Order: sequence, then C-alpha cells, then structure tokens
Amino acid sequence: MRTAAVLACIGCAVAFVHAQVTPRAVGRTVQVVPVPELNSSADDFVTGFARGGREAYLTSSRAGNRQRLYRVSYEQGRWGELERLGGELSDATHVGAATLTIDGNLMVFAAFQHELGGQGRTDLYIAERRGKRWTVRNAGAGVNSSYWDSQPCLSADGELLIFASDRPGGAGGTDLWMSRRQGGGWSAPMPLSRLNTAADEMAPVLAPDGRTLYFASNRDGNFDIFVSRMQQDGTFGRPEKLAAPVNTSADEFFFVPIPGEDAALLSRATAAGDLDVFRVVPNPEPPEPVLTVQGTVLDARSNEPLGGAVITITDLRTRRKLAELYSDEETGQYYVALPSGRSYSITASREGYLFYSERFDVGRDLRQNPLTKDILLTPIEGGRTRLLVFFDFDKAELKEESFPELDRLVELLRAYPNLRVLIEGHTDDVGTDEYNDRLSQRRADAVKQYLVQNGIDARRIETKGWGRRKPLVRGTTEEARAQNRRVEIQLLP
Amino acid sequence: MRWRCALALLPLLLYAQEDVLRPRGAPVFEPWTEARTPIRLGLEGGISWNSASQSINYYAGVQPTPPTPMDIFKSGSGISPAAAAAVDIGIAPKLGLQFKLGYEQKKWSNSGTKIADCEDPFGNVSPVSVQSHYTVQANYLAIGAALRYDLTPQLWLTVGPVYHRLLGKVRQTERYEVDPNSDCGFPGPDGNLYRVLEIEAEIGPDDPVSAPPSGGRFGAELGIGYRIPLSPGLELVPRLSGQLLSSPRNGDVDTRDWWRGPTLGPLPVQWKGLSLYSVLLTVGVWFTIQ
Repeated sequence: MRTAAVLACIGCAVAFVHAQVTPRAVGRTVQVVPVPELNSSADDFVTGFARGGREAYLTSSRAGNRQRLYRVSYEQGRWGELERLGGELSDATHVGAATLTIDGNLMVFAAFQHELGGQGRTDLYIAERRGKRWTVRNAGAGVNSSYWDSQPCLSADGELLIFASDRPGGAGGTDLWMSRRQGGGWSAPMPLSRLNTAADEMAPVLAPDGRTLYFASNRDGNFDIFVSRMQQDGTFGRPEKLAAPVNTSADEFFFVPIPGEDAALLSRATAAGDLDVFRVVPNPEPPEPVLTVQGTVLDARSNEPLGGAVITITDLRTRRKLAELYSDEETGQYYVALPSGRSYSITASREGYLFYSERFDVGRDLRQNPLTKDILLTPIEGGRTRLLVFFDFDKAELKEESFPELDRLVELLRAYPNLRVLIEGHTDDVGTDEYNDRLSQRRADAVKQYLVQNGIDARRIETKGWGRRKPLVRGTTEEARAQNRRVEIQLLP
Repeated sequence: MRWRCALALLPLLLYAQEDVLRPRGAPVFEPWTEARTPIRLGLEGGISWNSASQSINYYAGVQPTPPTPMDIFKSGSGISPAAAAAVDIGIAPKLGLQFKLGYEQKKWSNSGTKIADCEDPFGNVSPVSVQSHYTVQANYLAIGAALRYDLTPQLWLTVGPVYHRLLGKVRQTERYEVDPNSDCGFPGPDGNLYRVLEIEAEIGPDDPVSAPPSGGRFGAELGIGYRIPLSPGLELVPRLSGQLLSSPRNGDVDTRDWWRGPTLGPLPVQWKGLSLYSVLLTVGVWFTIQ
C-alpha cells in the first residue's frame, strides 16, 4: 500500500513536470477554420509575425501567379488590408517565405531569380529596414548554396536561422538546416539531423520562445506538421506529429503561433490544390510563454521619438546578451520577446544621449502581455541617469554583473573627453543616516575607482554619498527600498 | 496495366519552375493560376448532337398534299459519339492555343407518317399512310485549332476553325411501312407486293451520283470549358462546343418524287442546301506537362 502511494506520487510529479515543460491543450477542442481575409484562389501562406504580433507576413501568388510578399496588420483579432511589398522585395520571379525579428527591422526571405543575383537556384536574402526603406542583400555563400535554399526562419532575436534546403549533406529530399549569427555573418549551416529524414522536411517556424520548432514533413505520405523542442544542449528533441484536426489527409505547412494568443496559423492545401491560411484555436502544442516588451525610445526633454537607439537585453542570471536591436527610425518603437521567469537588464544608448539601463523581472504570470516600457534618453549635457550596478548587501564592492554598465560609462567619457561626471550613491531607509552616508559614499567611490582603473582621469570624476536623504520613491516596501538603493550619475559640463 | 500506372503517376511527375515553396516547382496545371502558360494534354470523349436540314423544292409548282415520304428528308437529328486528343499551349496569361485530333460520328435521322400511292392485290391504287424513317451516318476525322481565352481561372472559351475529313463512305438507310390496316403494298422487282420497303446505301465522295458526300468540310467551332481539378496536374474538363460547318454534301440533288407516281405522275424535285450543325458535349481528362 505504501509502495503504491509512493509510485502514485512519483507519477503525479512526473506529470506535473511534464506539464510545465511542454504545456499541452489537453482536453480542449481544437478548431481549425479558414481565414478568408488572407485567402485567395492562389497559394496563400503566412510565414511569420513581426512588431510583437501586430504585423503578419503573407506569401501569395494571387497576382500574376508570381509569389509575392504581403504585409497585413493584425490588431485585436482583426486583419487589415494586404499591402504588397515592392522594390527590392519583389525584384524576382518568386519572392516569399519571409521571417522577421520581432521588431520587424530584420527580414530574411527567399527569392528565385532575384535581380541582385544569387548562388544558383532559390536563395535566402537579408533585408534590413531603416524607416520605410528596405536594404536587401543576398545572404551570401556562407548560407546559400547552388541548390534550393528557402523558407528561412529566424528566432525572435535574430540570432538563429533555420531554413529548408535540398543541398547535399542532409538526409535526402529537402531538409532543415541551422545557422547561428556569427559576427556580421552566419555560421556554416548544419543539418538538423534528428529532424531530417529521407523524405522532405520544410516550412520551419521557430516560436518566439526560441525553443519550439514547428515544421512540415511528408515522411508519412502527405505533408504534416511536426513539433520539436530545443533541449538543454541546444539540439532539437524527437519530433512529434500534431494530431487531427491540425493534420489531415491534405498537405499542411507553416504552423505559425500567433504572438500573445493561444492560437496559430497554418497553411493547408485545399481541394482546389492551392494553399489557404487557417486559424488553429487553441494551439495544441503551444510554445513556452514569452513576454513581449514593447515601447518607444524618447528624448527625455522634447518627448520626441528617437530612432536608431541601440537597445540591449541581457539575461542577468546567465549574463548572456539576448538581443541587440534598434528603435525604429521613424517611430522610435522597439519590440522584444523574452522568456518568462527570468530577470533582465535593458539598456538603450544613442549618440548624443546618455545611456539608460534598467533591471526588470518577468514573472510566470503573463497576464500583462505585452509589457510597455518606454525609454527616456537624456541629452549628454546635464544628463542624469541611474547606473545599473550591483553590490552585495551591506558591501561596497562592485559585483561582476555591474561591469558591462560601467564599461558603457567608460566609453561615454572617452567619447566626450571634456565631460565631467558626478557619481551619487543612495541607500534605502534601513539603518542610521551616518551609516548610510558612509555606505553610499563608499559605493560611489567604488564606481569612481573602476572608471579610473579604466583610464578615465580622476579629476573628471566627483562623488557624493547621499545616504537615505534623497529617495527616488517614498515608502517602506521592499519594492520602494529596492528602487531607492541606487547609484546615479550626472554629467557636468 | 503498366500504362495505367504510368498514367496515374504522370501528374506526380509534372512540375513547373521552382518557387519558394516547392523546390521542384508546383505541380503544374493549377487551374487557379490565371497567368500560367503551361502545356496541357487532354483526352476527351462524349456525344455529338447533330441537326440536319435542307429544302425540297418541287418544280413546276406541283407539290403533293399531304406530303409524301420524301418530306422526311427535310430535316433530321441524332446523337453520335465523339472523342479527341487535344493539346493546349499557353501563350500568354489567360490565352492559349488548342489543337485537337479526333473522331466524330455524325448521325441523323427522321421519321414521319406520310402519304404514298399503294397498290392492292387487285391492281387498285390508292393513297395510304406510310410510316417512313431514314438514317444517315458519316464518320469524320476532326482536326481543329482554336484560340483559348480564360474568362475565369476555371472557365474558358475557345473559338477556331475545324476541318472534318470523311472516313469511308456515308451510310444511309431507309424504311417504309404501309398502314397495317391496309392490304396494299409496294411492288417489288419480282412482281410481288411488299408491305415494308427497306433501302440501304453507302455512298462515297467519288461515287458517280449527282451530289456525292463531301470528302472534307470546313467550319468553325465555338466552345466553353470548365476546369475541375482532381489532383495537382490533373483536371476534369466538361466542355460544350458548337460546330458550324459547310455542307456534308457536294451540291444539290435533282431527283423525282415517285411516291405519288401512279396517280400524279413522277414529280421533279430538288434537294437543296443541306446543312449539318452539331453541338458537342464532352468530358475530358487534362494533364499538365510543363
């Protein structure tokens, strides 16, 4: 009896852990319905979203039987008008299968016989958006081959590229290949051996969590949707075929989760032979939840949008830089998708402005999704900002994770050699004034010491420990105290 | 069996230019693609509904009333088989050229109860009712060319010239049967009276008759087809076509109406302006090969 109870508990634990790792739509009725706003009598398939899910990118051959890219807005469940992308995004016999970073500023698409030339057959092309203008270039021989290279899929942060190719070296037919961003280019593509078979694998879609990969394969006859999840070692696990009604006797391609919704789009061959877009609700194999952080970078004084600001997101636990993106040239907007249950730092910088850093935590509860976080950058002269530096409790020694922030300050002072800086230390309201004054002064001095050690003239640096006398916010909650424990800098002319 | 397998696999092997979705290109002959310009092969079979008419003019204003059995030759209609192999070559978005080579049988007939002089066993002659029937059957090799225009991705129109080459001879049968209530008949070569008269004839273009069948005839064909996709590269196409061709006969026939000969004497007549129009209803299986 006791043994049975123990086994039962273990079973519960396994089931619970499994449910946490691969959440499933157990017991829910999955509906697959066409999306008439996107469909025509020709091929139509959505391959990706951008701008936090507010833009979808459709490939359609509705016009002259040539595959072309269309952008369509998606707001609160409603589809806007289709906007055909022109210019270099259409200078080819066929263009399509676009994938974008979440901010929509970096696109990788496939084109057959593009006017820019290529490596042979269908190639991948990279397009970067500055304002309304796209600059397009071939992805190069490092990624493309003389074979069919198509259907790219970028991770939300743009660091990982998965695509389909019939080049040699795979398992046969078309296979999935993966490349990682490496400096200014991409690493040599490697086949996803655990996913590829002698049949065709194609239509990869990497969910915003960067770990859940959907793809299509005809290993069982017609094309069906499979899902595989990235494991701790960075490889993809054993793929599982999605059940009906997602998969049917027709061909299914491009299973694309809709950001922020428990739903997905897929493209399915109709009785007429063309591909149409269908909506799947709920997503029976949802990715891990992610938080979409969006906001606008603004001039702190004029409140005007600031384009071209570099925004860096760092995982504070792993200290890994998760994303580096730019605010939109026109609107100053930015978007980034972040896995839940972690702490991050977000830093924005722009020439002529003092950089801005902030720490924020993303809990498991994503009811507030997307999270709007506007960033105010102050002009260099007279600018003031809080430094994202870390100390152990009751200590004045800088923790290692403070160094990237301090390096930014070093760079700034090097770039503006006439600039002087006042470093101000602050504490919370715990302890005596005398004690807090000393601690805040020591911490400000520690920052000064780091700057001097990195070549900044000590005469350009002043320090001041304010103790608890200048709280940022009032209150005695832990949250208020955390905000008040800080080091700020003020730039002096 | 082997050719059936090959035929079944044909659509799977037919692909067009590659694109971003398909490395081997889309299985071609997608009916929804208005601008595609593939080459398609079709095998069609169906029926031809035929309608023939001509005028029969009695010379010298003498016309028997009520009409004699010759009157049934003024018109005729019938249904006969048709089959063809066709190729469609796309030349521009929505436009294509179609060529076909086929077999078409044209068959028409007519029946009617008419009046003819009839002789009884006692030598008396009186007009009686005669059930009359004729059938004409001609086999043609049909060669056509047409311009195809897609009204919609599914619906197309074709218009173009067509040529019919007569295969063999035209076969004509006639049957006349006197009213069963009458005891008269038609005198045969042996002097006996026959209640039923049957005539069979095969006439070719080179036979020494006054107006032989045409060896070939030209005309125009107007068609409308509808594509029903069965699978990629394979479609079912019902098609309705109208044919307007020159006469199946060379010239007009000068003859005499003997049916009232004993009482009215032989009446010179002319069979004039024979026309034969057809409407084809076919169902085709079309394969895209490029």
